[in-house]
Amino acid sequence: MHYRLICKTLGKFFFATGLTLLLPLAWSLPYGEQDWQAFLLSALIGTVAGGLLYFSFRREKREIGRRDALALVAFGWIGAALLGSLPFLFSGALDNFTDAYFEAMSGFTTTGATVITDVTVLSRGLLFWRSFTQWLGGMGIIVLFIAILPYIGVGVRQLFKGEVPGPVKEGLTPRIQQTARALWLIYLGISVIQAALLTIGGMDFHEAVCHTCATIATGGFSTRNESVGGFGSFYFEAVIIAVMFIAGANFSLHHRMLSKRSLAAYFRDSEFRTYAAILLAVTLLITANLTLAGPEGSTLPDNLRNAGFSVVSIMTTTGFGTADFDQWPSFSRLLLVALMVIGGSAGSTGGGIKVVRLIIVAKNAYVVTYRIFRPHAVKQLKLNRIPVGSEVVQTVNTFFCIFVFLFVAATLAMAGLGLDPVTGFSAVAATLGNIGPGLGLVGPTCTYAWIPGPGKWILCACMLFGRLELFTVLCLFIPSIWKR
Amino acid sequence: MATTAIVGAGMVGLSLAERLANGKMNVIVVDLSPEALGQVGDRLDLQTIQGHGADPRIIETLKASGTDLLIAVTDSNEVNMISALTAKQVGIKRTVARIRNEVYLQGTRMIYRDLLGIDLVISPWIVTAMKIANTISTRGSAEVESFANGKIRLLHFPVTSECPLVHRRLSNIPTPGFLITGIRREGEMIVPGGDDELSPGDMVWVVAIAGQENRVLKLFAAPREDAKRVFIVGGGQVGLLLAQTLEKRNISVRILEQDRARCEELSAVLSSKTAVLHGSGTDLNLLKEEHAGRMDVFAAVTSEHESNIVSALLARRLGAAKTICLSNRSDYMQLIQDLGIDMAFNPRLLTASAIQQFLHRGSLISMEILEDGKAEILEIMADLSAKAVGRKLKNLGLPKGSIIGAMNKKDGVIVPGGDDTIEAGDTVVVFTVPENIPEIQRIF
Repeated sequence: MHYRLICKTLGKFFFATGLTLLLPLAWSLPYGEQDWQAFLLSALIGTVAGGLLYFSFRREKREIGRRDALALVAFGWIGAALLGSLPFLFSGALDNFTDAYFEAMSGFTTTGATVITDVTVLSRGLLFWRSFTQWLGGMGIIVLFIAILPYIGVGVRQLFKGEVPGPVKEGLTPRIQQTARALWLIYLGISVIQAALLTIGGMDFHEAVCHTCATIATGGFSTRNESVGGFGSFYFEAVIIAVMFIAGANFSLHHRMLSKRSLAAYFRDSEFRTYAAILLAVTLLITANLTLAGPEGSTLPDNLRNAGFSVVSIMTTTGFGTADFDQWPSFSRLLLVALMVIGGSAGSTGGGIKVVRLIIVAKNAYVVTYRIFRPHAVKQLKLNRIPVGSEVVQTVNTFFCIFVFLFVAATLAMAGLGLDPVTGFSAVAATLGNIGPGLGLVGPTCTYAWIPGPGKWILCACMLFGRLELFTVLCLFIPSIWKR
Repeated sequence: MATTAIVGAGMVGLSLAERLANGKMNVIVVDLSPEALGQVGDRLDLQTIQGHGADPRIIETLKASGTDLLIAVTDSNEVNMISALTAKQVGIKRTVARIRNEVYLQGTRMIYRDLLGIDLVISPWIVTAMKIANTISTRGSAEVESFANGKIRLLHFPVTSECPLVHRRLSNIPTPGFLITGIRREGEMIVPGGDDELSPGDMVWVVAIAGQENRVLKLFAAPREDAKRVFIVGGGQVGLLLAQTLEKRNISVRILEQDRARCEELSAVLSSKTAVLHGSGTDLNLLKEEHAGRMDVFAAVTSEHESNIVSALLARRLGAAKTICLSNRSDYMQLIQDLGIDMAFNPRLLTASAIQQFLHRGSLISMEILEDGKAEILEIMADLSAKAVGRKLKNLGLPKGSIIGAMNKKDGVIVPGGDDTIEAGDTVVVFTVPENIPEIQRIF
């Protein structure tokens, strides 16, 4: 690892992140809010610190290697959340650093877990910043920088791999920068369309933009305490369901669809088919469960609408709510927890284990079992008719094990801090999977504000692990990566 | 008189040289090895040239001595290709190259013929695999032949009284994806028109697009007894092609291969329904464990021909219904039959026959004689120079007693109607009475 090189590149990143803080500043001015000072101060700190860091190490000429890339991605995210927390502190919206950092990390990692009990008292600038951090984090801040910054070096491919979710990372184009641009362009395009649709439907422009940022990124921050349910509009819910569904699918499929102008890519992809099938099956199961065993007076159409929204919201790891699913029968609640763990598709903006990993784990289980009674058989694990290499299978299995291990360890820690089991394990599921709301005392109507300080830091770590898909962060715990 | 050059005095080269020289044709054999040439020269009345098959000077010499056909059958794919290409460039009219590497066979006939100028690219593995595949499915006598690399199939089956199409005029029977090309009734062969009807007791020949066979047989309610389970020993190119062909016909396949890495390749290419097994074909316990004895067909197609014989014998002892083995030794053929193995195939002889067929027929790719010569089915490639090119079928002037059953066009196989046009590079499958053959050759 080359410390000077990392400092120099991080300097660039911080400078750019500092610049993004000018956007909420511009946002708050027309509304005549006082928060612009907080944003200006934060932006200054970001750009000056970044600029200084870059300037002091500008003579470093080395190219980014594999180790540097991993460290850069991890530190880039930790640093971004640090900068992102400043406006909350300077504006006085949150009074301690832990809460501010939690809120910012929850934003960038598109988790959507909040410590703010009443979001309606926040200024529009802050509400926009909260949603905007999710928009930045959704497609990936590092990928964004790759897309817009001038030439970063040959290590750029490693940076890309460190951040983009999924077990197999293919570029869509020969150059990573082109790929990053293509991804961000699609992302931007969908955002514009969604914001337009919401505004046309009668949503206030400010709220439409905030919700758009939080939807396409599968983030889940809302401008209302009741989340999307606060609007009570079927049209808004339909638009948001559609965009969440798109955001939870692999963006390279969207790219293929757009470049070939055919929907065939979706149907040929087994991950997409499974993703859609799970959404449909669980929606029907929960609707049935709610109708048969749910609260009195609930009607089938209402149940279908609530179940559909919650299922898509939870599986894509967005975390918007229209109903308090914590009041649902336990079968429905646990189904939602299962969806939290599964998460969206590889190459999407969603979190969780990812559908494709689940498919690989399941297929591998079949192959291994098959070999037991037919030892001479040679069976390759195939995905979309192409064999998956044994290294990939092994990595996916390991990912699965580490995920479970982290899950158990973090849940135990939460229990140690005095949380009840349901709250503790669902809080970990909701942060490790970047969803947001959990069950019990962190359910859709509650916040994370009451969780003790150390608990918040553990959950922050969970969010980071979840967003960067474990390995990028875990690498930092292996001593030899730190050697020069 | 026409002179043919054969590059490569291996088994295929020798076998061809023998057939051609005895057929009163001038033959020149080119080979690197003086010993090999010496043996040929002693046995046959032909000229020999010692040298590299792709040496431009040698090819020019060949051209100068009046060669109008060059057949490249050395052990090297690349030498064969370059030799054929060079020959074409210096003006030798027709060229044939034997290609064994599957990568080169991914190209279409168009690429080799029209762009590179090799008139026939022949793969012993494809020839052999197709031949074996055909015998496997003729068990129920439902499928007789395939054309256009297996994309077009000829079916042959009886019409029973249960057939729902009986006593209907053919023009009233919708036939998407297939065509009734021949009816044999009371010893007479009829090439039917729209006014003919089917009656119970007829035997029909139907040309169908591959993949439609089951639908056709169902439509006619034809009785069918097909191989359902096939065991293949050897995952080389023949084994792989055979497995792929059988998979497409929904036959359950087990394929046994000795090399672990090759097993993984096979499993990557083959469907997940096919069981790829790692082990030796002469391992009796393994064969028992995998129920080799309960198979409808057991085919040993490794490159070790003696092991093939042993495998097939083991399978026969275990009870396999039909055993097939591959052998390059023509002197073993009788022995293999004496041992009770049902069929033996020799890739080299099959290749030589296929090349010879090509030579005799010009643009004819293949030809099969049906029912003791009462009908023939031809697969013809429409040259750029063919008269038929650019004309609609109804204007073709095809004589009565002949019918075009299917065409393999650039974008897929079709069962043509009168308004379809023949384009250069198309392959047509013609069902005909033998008397019409000269007339058909004139048209194409």
